[in-house]
Amino acid sequence: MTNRVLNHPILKIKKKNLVTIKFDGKPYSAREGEPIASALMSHGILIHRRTHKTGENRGVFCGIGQCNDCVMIVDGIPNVRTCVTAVKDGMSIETQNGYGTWI
Amino acid sequence: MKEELRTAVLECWEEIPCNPCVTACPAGAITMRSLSDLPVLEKNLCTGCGLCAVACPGLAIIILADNHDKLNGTLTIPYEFLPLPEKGSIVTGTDRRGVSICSVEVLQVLCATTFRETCLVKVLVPKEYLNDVRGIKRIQP
Amino acid sequence: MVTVPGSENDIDVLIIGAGPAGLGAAIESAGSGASVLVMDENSLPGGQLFKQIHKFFGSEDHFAGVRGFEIGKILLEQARKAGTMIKLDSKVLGLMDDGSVPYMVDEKVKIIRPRKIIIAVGGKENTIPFPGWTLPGIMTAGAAQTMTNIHRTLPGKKILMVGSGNVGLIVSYHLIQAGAVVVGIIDIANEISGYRVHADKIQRAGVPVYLNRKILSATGSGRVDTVNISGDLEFKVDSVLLAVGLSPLTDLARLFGCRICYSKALGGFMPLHDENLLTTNKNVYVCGDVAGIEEANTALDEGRLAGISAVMNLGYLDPAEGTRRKQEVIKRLRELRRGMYGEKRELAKKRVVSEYKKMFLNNEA
Repeated sequence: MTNRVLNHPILKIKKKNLVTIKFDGKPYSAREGEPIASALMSHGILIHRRTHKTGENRGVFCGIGQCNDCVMIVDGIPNVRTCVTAVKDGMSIETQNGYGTWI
Repeated sequence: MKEELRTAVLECWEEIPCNPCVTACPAGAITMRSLSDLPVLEKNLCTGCGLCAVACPGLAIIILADNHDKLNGTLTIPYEFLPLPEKGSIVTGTDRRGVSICSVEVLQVLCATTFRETCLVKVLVPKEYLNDVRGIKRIQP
Repeated sequence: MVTVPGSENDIDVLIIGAGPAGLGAAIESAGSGASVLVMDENSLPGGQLFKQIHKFFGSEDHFAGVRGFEIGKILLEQARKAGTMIKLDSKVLGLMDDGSVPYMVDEKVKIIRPRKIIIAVGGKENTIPFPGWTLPGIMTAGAAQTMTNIHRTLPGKKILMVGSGNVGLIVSYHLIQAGAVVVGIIDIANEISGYRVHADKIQRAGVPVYLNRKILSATGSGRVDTVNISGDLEFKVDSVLLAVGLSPLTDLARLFGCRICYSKALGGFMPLHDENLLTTNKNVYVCGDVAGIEEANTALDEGRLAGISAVMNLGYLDPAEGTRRKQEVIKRLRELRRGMYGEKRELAKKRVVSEYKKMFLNNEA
């Protein structure tokens, strides 16, 4: 099941280079240069983190880097806004639980 | 046989500053006093060519021909979805609210680069439904 | 700081925001010979234009009939041809007392000292909270539009749209073009808020519009799967989009010391400005959605007006020529602000300008 738009009446679907990212340890394909949030969303992954007090699921909300709801741990660094951060080949992305810690 | 009337039908109801239909018409059949007035169609000048239907950003224009044969007229509708209907196929004609009205046969599907991704779909419509049908139901991929 | 003529340090006009307003301002000011720098915090220029895949309204001067993303390309090309420098991924941080503007790029802070500043940062989407609104799958219509039209990713396959204004109507159409199902559009008002033609397109395609309805709650395990609407309506969905209005992004204007006013018709709090789009800070202009939520065509023309005003003040345009150009743009803006929707905005804009004038008359500024 994919949420990717494979053909479109208006937009030309240009062939983009694919990269591989790891989400919670599992490999997923992503289009080069797209935001992490979009790569995850294309695979139907919408849960990015769990809140500190009640463990509620959160994900993309504003999509423009203002609300901070989409933050995840990226290559070990917590609180990274995935809607405005581009994927890189080999990038590791993890569900963030709570506020995230700095090692 | 009675001569066929082919005309653009402009379903543009609100005064919004917009005039691509005026510019698109090669016969000068559409006029507008000022940018935000409603377009006015001079039926005698309209040849039903369909260029206004393609140009209208609101997809608010269709081309109606009332006497294709004894029982049917045709409607040419601007269409921007995939999959495109196939010539010769039977699709469902719908009214302004998307309610199914009747089956219609696809006579022609016209796409051109100058149309900028808006295709024209010409369907055969029983005469009694010519004033009700305003669209076609999307084809299931 | 040493000013080197013709270098990055020698900026006549700094334009903050590379959307249609910012690009319009750049085309006019760079075209008149000023050194112009456009800065945008995003990695891509064009503001909201590149998400817009439908054909725009207006006249030929506003690229009517051309799709938004194509207009974006044209404006960008025109701005570059006129000699505009464009810096992306650059976020303006404020305005110092000595007139210098710090900005952040690559996690470093740099300083420039423009003679004039044009704020063209646009607006932001409003939100409405309701039980369950934080569930994954619930987001703003703009977020979904960006994902779908730029990144080719749908937020879901069965979508409820909250809000029947132009954004709700247009984004619903974009979503079904991309292959999603929009189960319905709801609005708390008793009539559709957006243009009739936008509504017709989406209703013809079979999407129902439910009026006088409020979203009561959303539930789901993991992500959203059900929404409850007033009047005993329930939908099974995998995404809910909020299209409940836009507001000007006033932060920078406030930071720059510009006085703020309130205009309901224009989206709420916005910077006070005169008929030349000059704010209460005599070196700062505003244009586009930040100066009141309108449309892309008015944003483009307001950008042009702000650009002309700024360079006239700097002496790059001979007063007669400048006045002539201004009149042309003002005439077009007036035409765009006619009709049942435009009239309200024309009136609101007039009120803002007269409030500005009153302020200086009373010597408040």
